[in-house]
Parts: sequence; C-alpha cells; structure tokens
Amino acid sequence: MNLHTLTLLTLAWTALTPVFFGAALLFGLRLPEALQQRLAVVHATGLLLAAGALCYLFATGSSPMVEVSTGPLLDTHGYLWRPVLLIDRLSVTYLALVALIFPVIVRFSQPSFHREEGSQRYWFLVSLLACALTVVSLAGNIDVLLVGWELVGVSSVMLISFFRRNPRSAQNSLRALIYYRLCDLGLLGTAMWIHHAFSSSAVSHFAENAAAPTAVGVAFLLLFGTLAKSAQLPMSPWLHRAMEGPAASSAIFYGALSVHLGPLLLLRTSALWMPHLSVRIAMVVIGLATAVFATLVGHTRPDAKTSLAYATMAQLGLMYVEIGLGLHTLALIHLCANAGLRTWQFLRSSSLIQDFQDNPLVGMDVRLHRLPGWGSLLPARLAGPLYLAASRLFWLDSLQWSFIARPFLGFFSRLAAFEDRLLGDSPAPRSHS
Amino acid sequence: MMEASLKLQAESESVPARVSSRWSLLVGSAAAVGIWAAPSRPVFLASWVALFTWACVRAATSGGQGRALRLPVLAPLAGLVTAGLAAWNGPTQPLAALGMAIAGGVLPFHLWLEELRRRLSHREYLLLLLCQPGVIWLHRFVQANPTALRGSLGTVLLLFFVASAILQSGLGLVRQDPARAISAITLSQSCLLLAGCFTGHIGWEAARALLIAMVAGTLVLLSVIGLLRDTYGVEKLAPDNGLADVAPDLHRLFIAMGWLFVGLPGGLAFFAEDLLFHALLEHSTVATAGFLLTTALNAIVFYRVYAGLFCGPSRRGQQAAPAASRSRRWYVAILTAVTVLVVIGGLAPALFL
Repeated sequence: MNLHTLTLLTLAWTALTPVFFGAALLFGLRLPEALQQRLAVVHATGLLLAAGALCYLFATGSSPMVEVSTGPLLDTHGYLWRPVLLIDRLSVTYLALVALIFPVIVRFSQPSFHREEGSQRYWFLVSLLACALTVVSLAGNIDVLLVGWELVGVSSVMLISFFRRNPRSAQNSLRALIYYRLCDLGLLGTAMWIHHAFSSSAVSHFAENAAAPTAVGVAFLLLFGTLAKSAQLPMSPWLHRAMEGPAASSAIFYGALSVHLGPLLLLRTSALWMPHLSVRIAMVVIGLATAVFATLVGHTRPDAKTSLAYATMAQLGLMYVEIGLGLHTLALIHLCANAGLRTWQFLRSSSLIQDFQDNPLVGMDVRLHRLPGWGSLLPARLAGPLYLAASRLFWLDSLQWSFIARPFLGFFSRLAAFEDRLLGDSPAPRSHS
Repeated sequence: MMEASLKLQAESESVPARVSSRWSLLVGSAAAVGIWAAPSRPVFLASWVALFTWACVRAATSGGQGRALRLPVLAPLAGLVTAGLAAWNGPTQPLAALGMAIAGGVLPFHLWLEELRRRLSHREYLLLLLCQPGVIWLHRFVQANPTALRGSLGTVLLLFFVASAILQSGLGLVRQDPARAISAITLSQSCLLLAGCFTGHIGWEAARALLIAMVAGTLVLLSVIGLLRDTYGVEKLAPDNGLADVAPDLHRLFIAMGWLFVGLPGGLAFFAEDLLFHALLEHSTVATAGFLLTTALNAIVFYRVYAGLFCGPSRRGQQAAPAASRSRRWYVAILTAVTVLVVIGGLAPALFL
C-alpha cells in the first residue's frame, strides 16, 4: 500500500466512528454500553495502527513532503473545492501524538463513563475530536484545515457543556464559543486573503507567496486565529472555565491536543510568516506575556484542574516564544513533551489526594515546598497586591466585558428596544395552533 | 369530572381555531407556491398580491373573534410598493433599489416582516419565512430588468444587505424569545444570500444552496421551538429551562440541525457559505469581512438559544410533561428526514448544486 492510499484510508477510518455515533444519536438509537466502548477502542486502535504505518512509510520514503489530493468535492462555475492533504515531518509527528494519546483517553474514559448518562454523546464527541485532529494534522490547504479547526471547536464546546444540568457548564461553554468564533474570524480572514491574493491555497505554496505585499497581513490574521484555541493573551479567560467538562475530555482538549493546535498551525504556516519580523516580534511578546500571566494566575488557583490549565497555558506561551525565535524543532519537541505530561496530569487530577496519601515517596515536605522560589524574593509590599491581581486574572475578564462585550451588546439592545418602540402598538402574537 | 368537562370545553373551543388555522395555512401555501412556480409575470403578480393579502388579513384578525379588526400598516404598504415595481417595466434605479430593500428586508425596511411576526401565528409566520418572498422577488425583478441594478448601485445594495445581515445577527444576540432569535439568523442568512445574488453566477449558485439549507434549518428549528412552546409552555430563554432531558427527541434535532444551519462542516450550509464567501470576495473585501462576522455571530446566537432552551436544571412542572404523541413522532420523523437531507448535501454538495 502506498502513502497516498494509506493517508486517505486513515482519514476515512477516523471519520467512520463519529459518523456512526452521530447517526445513532440523530435517530435516537441507544447503543449498548459495551458496543459503544468496543467501537471507541476499535477506532482508537485502528488510528494507532494507521498512524504507525503512515509514519513508517513516510520515514522509509525518499520525499520529505508528499501532497495527496482527491477529486473535487464540488466543481461549479470555476469554483473548485478539492481536499488536499500533506504528509511531512510535522503532520506525521502530530498525527502520531494524536494516535498515541487518543487510546489512553479512551482507556481512561471506559470506567469513568460506565453507566454514565450521556456516555454515547461523550464517545461521539471524543471520536469526532479524533477525526477533526486528524484532519487538521493532515491538512494540505487552508480549506481542509478550516474543516478540522471548526470541528475541534464544536466538539470542545459541546464537551464543556457535557454536564448540561449544571447551568455554569452552559454559560462557560458559550463563553468558550465566543472566544473561538472571534478568533476563527482571524483564520477565516486568512483564508479570505489567501484566496484573494495568493496563487494557491495549498500550504506547500506558502513559501512562494511569502513575498507578496499582503503576506504580512495574512500572517497577523493567522496569529490572531491561533490565540483562542491556545488560550494566549488576550483570549485566555475561557480556559479555566472549560474545566467544567469531564476530566478525560479536559485532558485531551486542554492538556494534550486541542490546545496545542495554535503552535501546530504556526509551525505549519511558518514559511509564510517567518520573513516578517514584525509578526515574529508580536508572537514572542504575546507568548512571553501569556507565560508570565499564566504562571502568576496559576499559583492562585485553588483546584488541580485549573492550576494545570494555567500551567499548560504558560508552556504554550513559551512555545510561541520558541516559534517566534525560529526554534521550530525545539518547539515541536516541547509540544510533544508537554502534551504527554499534561495528559497524565489531567487524567490523574481526579485522584490527586489519593495519590498523595497512598504514595510513600510523597511526604509532607513536598507540600510545604510548593511555593516557587521567586515568590519569596518579592517584597511583601508587592507580593500582596500581585497575588490579589493574579487571583482576579489581572481584571482581564472585567476589562473585556466593560470595553468590548457590554458596548457591543448594549448597541444591539438599544436597537432592539427602538424596534420594539416603533411597533409598540401591535398586539402580542396569537397562539400558534 | 370537573377537570374532564373543562378539558372537553377547551377542546371544543380550540377546534374552530385549528380548522381556520389549517385553511389559512393552505391559502398561504398556495400563494407561496404561486410566487415560486408562476410561469408568467401576471401569475406571479397575482400570487404576490394573494400572499400579501392573506398575510394582512390574518394579521388584521389576530385579536380573535369578537374583537375589532386591527389592520397592519407596513405590510400592505410593502406589498403595494413591491407589487407596483414588479408590474412596472423598467423602473428607475433608485426605485428598483427601494423595491429590493423592501422585499429583501434590509434594515430598516424589514419592519413589515416584524409587524407580521407579531400578529401572525407561529406557523403562519414560519410559512412566510420559508417562502422567502424577497429572494423570488429579486429573481423575477432581475429577469425582467437585467440592467436595473448593474454597476455601483448593485455594490451599494450588496453592502447594505451585508450590513443588514450583521445587524440582524446582532439583534439575535439580545432576543429573549427563542423563535425571534432563530428568525434573526434566518433573516440574516436571507440578507447574505440576497447579497450573493449581486455577484454573478457563483453568487446565484451559492444563494440557491444557502436557500435550501436555510429553509431546511428554519423549518426544523422553528418547528422544534413551536413544539416546545405548545407542549411545555416555554416562551423565553432561561438558564433553568433544561429541556434536554424532558424532550430528548426535540433536543437531538435542534442541536444537530442548529450546527448545520450555522455552517458547520458536514451540512450543505458549509459549502453554500464557502461558495458565497468566494463570490463576495471577487466583488468586495468589505462585504466578505462582514459576511465572516455574520457567520461568527450566527453560531453564537444559535448556541445561546440552545443553551437557554435545553441546558440547565429542569423545572419540576416540566418533568411531568406528556409523553410524545403519535403525531409528534411523525412530525419528528419528518424533521429528522429534512436534517438527513442537509447532511447528505454536506457530504455530496454536487447533488444540490
């Protein structure tokens, strides 16, 4: 089997299970729990084997970059929607990461979702995420990338509101969606500009287009598009709210895979923005600011999952710095290592207290030495206000609400009120039988 | 015994209303089919007048039997202007633009639609939304006057339509009535597809695909909202509606169709919006940016409505709501079939384009 066929088969395989789960959910069919879990295990195992074979074929092949495309899905009046996939070092590395982490999540979720209401929904969303991540990893043009990117966002939002009886889950998932959609505008704008100004939307042609006069604008839009998924400043405040979802989904989304899509996208499009110093400076500044912000805020969080979320955010900030400085291999290694560590930490977060109590190697002194060294270097006069500010996320939430969300919603509220006043004498709608 | 007699009385009172509602829907549907399938201009004009007359009469009698007639003002005016312009051979450009703005519901010319929404029943208004009179009016008008909206006026109107789409989506963000919020998405998409019509062949293709996706989405989402209102009395979005557990059949339809409606990959709207995006891009970068903002807002509006209806703890009264009746099961089956069609369109868009 050649690389071309195997790539398409891998993609088809990852799509099969979510399609099956989705169809069952749409038709209201309740699958037996054993079948749900077996399907998830087969899906994860298949992905692992396919990714392994893909890595092997790529490593033994001679070409550093293979483009795979199929016939157009849509061809009308000169408009062509053709899926293009790209196999290179970056895509196989990230695909391998997805394929290694996904079975761990599935294995861990099996006992967690035993007899859990909504388990079918959970398996659907997690398998959809695996499919979406595969699409993003293998995307060879901006259109395919958008498909995977959007699906990751939706599955993330739906998993945050997994425990839907909890009103906070719905509020927090809505908040996450707002940040996602705002930054998706960046990615969509990128797509717009690429189609408008470049000769091709394929990633492999980005290097040729980097000298185009509009490339710097595209690069800034791309950078903006990555901020929400990776929770970089100023698009950070949603991340700790996303911890409402099940622990296993938090691990795969906000510890391991979804949250690292920002650096992945920047690495994937590096040919486009590397020649532009202003973009790289912005990347480094955002990364550094986020790392400092997340480190300070993380130390004020009282619960394990949120602390871990901020620790991940800080590491992601450092990855932005590395990518901006051109240390791409280091960033890729950092990404893989961080994803692996955070998966383990998130999965164990539910049993953290038990781990401490049962582990003879963990004694009292570990808990006593939790404060970072630099914390004690701060003068007491500064430490107090800094702690207060960090515990309030440096008022980032309030600032965004007061200066962006409230005026925006206020405008539309006034418009709606004006419309109601204009038609104020109309009777109320009648019953609709 | 007393409860039974009260129930009987209520049923006997509701029968005439239901019968008149069925007749009304039949008349409205006939007029809607007339404007879409009219073979000639006179038939189109007759159907157009019939549709507006039907809507205005139903709106005027909205108070019920024994109450004074309250004639709507804006809807007959809109009907007269658009019918007059459609009948006129070669109107001047500003008048053509005015007709387009009224028929297409560009803000603030959309008020006739809002006036009808307040007075018509849920199903009658749904019929009006599904009929999309603005689209067919534009189609007919451009056929009859191919040069009327060429040049800079066309671009200006295109920008107006996109701006209206943004405003409609924004209004959807603050609406508390779920039907009104979802209608805002429909009106916003309607403005987008009308904008697409100004951008040549690809634009018309995109408009056609978006029209199918939008009609299907509106039908499913507003039908679900109507059923929720009928069965559970839910009129407003609230953090404690929690209907997901109470009405799982409607919940799964709403969430599946909702995401497809706002352009998630896997539905026809995704390709329609992508096509529209490319069509707009060739004409105006500003309009394309506005289009992107609208799609982003629409997704937020939809999810807000979803969360306000289906998430949160269930109220105790709703737990004891009646189980799904046979007619509801049929209704749900039809809506599921519509959703499946939209998914097929998302997997094989060439079938619809």
